[in-house]
Amino acid sequence: MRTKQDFTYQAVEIQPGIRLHAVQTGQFKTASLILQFAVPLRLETGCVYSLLTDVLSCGCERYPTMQDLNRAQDELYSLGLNITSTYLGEMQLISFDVSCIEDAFTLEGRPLLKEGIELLKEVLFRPLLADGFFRPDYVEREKKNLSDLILSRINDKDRYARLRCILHMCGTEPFSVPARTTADMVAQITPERLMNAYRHLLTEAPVGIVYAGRKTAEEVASLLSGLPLSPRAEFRLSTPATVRPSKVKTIRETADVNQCKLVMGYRIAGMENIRQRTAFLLFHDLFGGSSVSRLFTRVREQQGLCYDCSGLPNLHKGVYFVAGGTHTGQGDRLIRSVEAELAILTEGGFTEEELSRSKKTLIHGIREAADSPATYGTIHLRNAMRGEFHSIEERIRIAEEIRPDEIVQAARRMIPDTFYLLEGRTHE
Amino acid sequence: MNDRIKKRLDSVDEELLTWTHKSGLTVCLSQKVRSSAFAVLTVRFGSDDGNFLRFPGDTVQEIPDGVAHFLEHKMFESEDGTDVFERYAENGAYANAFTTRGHTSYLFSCTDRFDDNLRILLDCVTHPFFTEDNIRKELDIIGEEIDMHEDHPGTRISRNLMNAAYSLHPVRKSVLGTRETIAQITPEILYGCVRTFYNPRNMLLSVCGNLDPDELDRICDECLPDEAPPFTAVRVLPDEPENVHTERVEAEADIAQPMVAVCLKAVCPAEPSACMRTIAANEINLELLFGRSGDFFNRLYEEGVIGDRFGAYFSLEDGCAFTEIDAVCDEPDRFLSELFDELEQRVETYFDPDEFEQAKRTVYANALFPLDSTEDTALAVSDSWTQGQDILDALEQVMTMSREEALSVLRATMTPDPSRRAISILYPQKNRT
Repeated sequence: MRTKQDFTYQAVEIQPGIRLHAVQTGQFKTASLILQFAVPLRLETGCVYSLLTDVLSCGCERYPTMQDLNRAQDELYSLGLNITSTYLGEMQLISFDVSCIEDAFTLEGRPLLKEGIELLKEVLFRPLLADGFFRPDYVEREKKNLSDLILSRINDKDRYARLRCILHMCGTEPFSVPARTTADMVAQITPERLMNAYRHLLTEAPVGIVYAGRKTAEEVASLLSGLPLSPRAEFRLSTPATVRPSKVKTIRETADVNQCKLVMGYRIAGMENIRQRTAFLLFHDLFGGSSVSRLFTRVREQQGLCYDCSGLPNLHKGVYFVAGGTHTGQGDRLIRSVEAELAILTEGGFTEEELSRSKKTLIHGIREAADSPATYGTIHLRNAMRGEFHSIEERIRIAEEIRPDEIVQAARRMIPDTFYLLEGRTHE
Repeated sequence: MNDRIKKRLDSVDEELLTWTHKSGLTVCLSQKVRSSAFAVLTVRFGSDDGNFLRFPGDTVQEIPDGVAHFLEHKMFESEDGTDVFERYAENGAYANAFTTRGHTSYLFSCTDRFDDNLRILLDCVTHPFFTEDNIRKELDIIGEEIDMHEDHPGTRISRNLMNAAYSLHPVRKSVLGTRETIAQITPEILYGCVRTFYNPRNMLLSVCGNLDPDELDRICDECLPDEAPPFTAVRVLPDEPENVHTERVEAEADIAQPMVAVCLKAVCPAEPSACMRTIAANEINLELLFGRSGDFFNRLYEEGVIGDRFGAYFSLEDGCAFTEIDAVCDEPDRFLSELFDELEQRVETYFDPDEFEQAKRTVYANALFPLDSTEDTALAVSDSWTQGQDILDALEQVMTMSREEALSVLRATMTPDPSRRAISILYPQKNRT
């Protein structure tokens, strides 16, 4: 049933240091264009960029209120223009994401991508200012919303536990910035800092653009011509430096929870190339990445210790988390079970059949990415950020070739750092 | 060959092929050229089926809360001890399942060996294996799942809301059950539910991908009976009063800001066709009332009454219809006052024709975005089937909705009458620092 994909990929430099990664395909009803800036994740600027995305979403010169901006999108067949701040390892990504229906599916053949890009330009390059700064009432309102969001971290105890583990494990490393950011830091953002962050995007921050849809790379490049963005260097992702803790920290905190939340943080000793990263992803699938992993089959199914216990790799940072929930008082037993399964894998305790299954799962994921052109285009953007290019076929070939000893090497990259338990407290 | 019905909507270039396999299973195929294919098998058996007749004239059968979800977990067991997930993984497939109030769905996604994976799926739901031991083992796992959900404030506020709005209807109950109710489950209960509900005539197989309908039929021929017995089960639902049980419930939780949930209780239309019109009308009504382009959301957002954490949805299922509106806000009573004023006004004056037509276009366009994905398409087909329609029907209902009809539905289902609305509020714990 496998079908040769009907798409072509082309990278085009539209301005010095700004590259468009275009995936042309006729198979889909919708198109996507993502313009993405990358800045180092820093405590001083993390919440500033987050606030910036919220303030830019409030309106622009042409559409001065959020309602005006949302109505403009509705009139474009519910076009979506989403401005977000996310993280990639120790980088912060500020993205302007346009999603629209292909022109062919509008009643009048309306050029939605062209109009969507024009809307993006309005929001990004002609923001609503007062005396040279962002409108203070919008800024104050969004500061409150962002502060509320930060304070609401306590609501989701599973996510809260992961943030607390990162805080204790990564201390002052940039990776812990989201966990260290407080509502007070947001309150202290000045108009100057917000404007400086905005100007940094326009003048210096590395930027990449991904497009997926029916238009050619040349057509899209033409729609993007003349962006008022200064020439800049292209972004390069670097291999994270390995942190080697001298001993494992175990942190226990309490909260109003029924279930003990466990997060086990590991450092991943450096990986230099795609082969090592692929071997690690196969290890992850064996260990805690699927319904046939050791954490699922042995810790959950055989021992009945938890409902959810799975691995969360972050290769861009070089860390791995095992997160799970178990009955109050069972936290230490769960830690021992997880560590025992890891130890088995470091000694090669897996079969060829298990490795074969993991390869098939990984290959399924590689192939499936092609069904989302935006995802496929983003993979190419990430490759460009690494200065690499790996086709789907090459990635599949590498996965198929990985040997058992490479899986053992991958397992031995796991260095325990911090184990965090959020346990229930007794109420009087 | 079964009689296959092809339905096409040219404006969105979508086509569905639907037929009934000789076993009685309904099959719906959405052909798309993709690398992956997705299949979901849906059984009309969910947490609302706590009381039922196996056949007309039967005595009412009552089962503990959480059986449908428990059954979903246990369907992945096999008598010979082979792990079903391993069988899927051998083919590189990803598999999962979920249970709702009205149905249970088993699904997989793959980029290769679709036929083999479909055999596994059909084998799974037709060869149950339950023992005291394998039930006992699952109690701890599902117990942890229950505890995990209970730790989420959304679970608490929602349960408080449904308990306030409904006196008798099983919508009050958790899909997972409780540790106490699932401890009552026996192999006999599970086998009884399989015999009653896991009948191909009570199931839909929704598939999306580059697939051959004849091949789908051949696999169903291999795995399913030639002709399943008639499906005779009847869900027994209580006579739920029209008014809410309790108007307002308040509680505390370890959260940062107050959370508010409102339920507007409605009467479920008797006719399936009326149900479909009601669902379509309220998709448009909710876009008008609470959409991000609407006056209500933007005014309250600008005034700082609400932030981004605000939403609404309409549910119509199993004789139970309601609208739920949720918000996180510092002043719940102010939000509620604004909300009820808005509803009172709109029930009287509604929206102008231009606003209505724009909302229709927005709802229609939003429905197109998922259709690029095999997973989202297959799941959308399954959802529509549980509502008694297909996704193309659902789109047509929206396209043909008139302003007058939508207003009539609004008045019928979102009355501001205080006796028909329930409020649930969670406040931050007073002693939380």
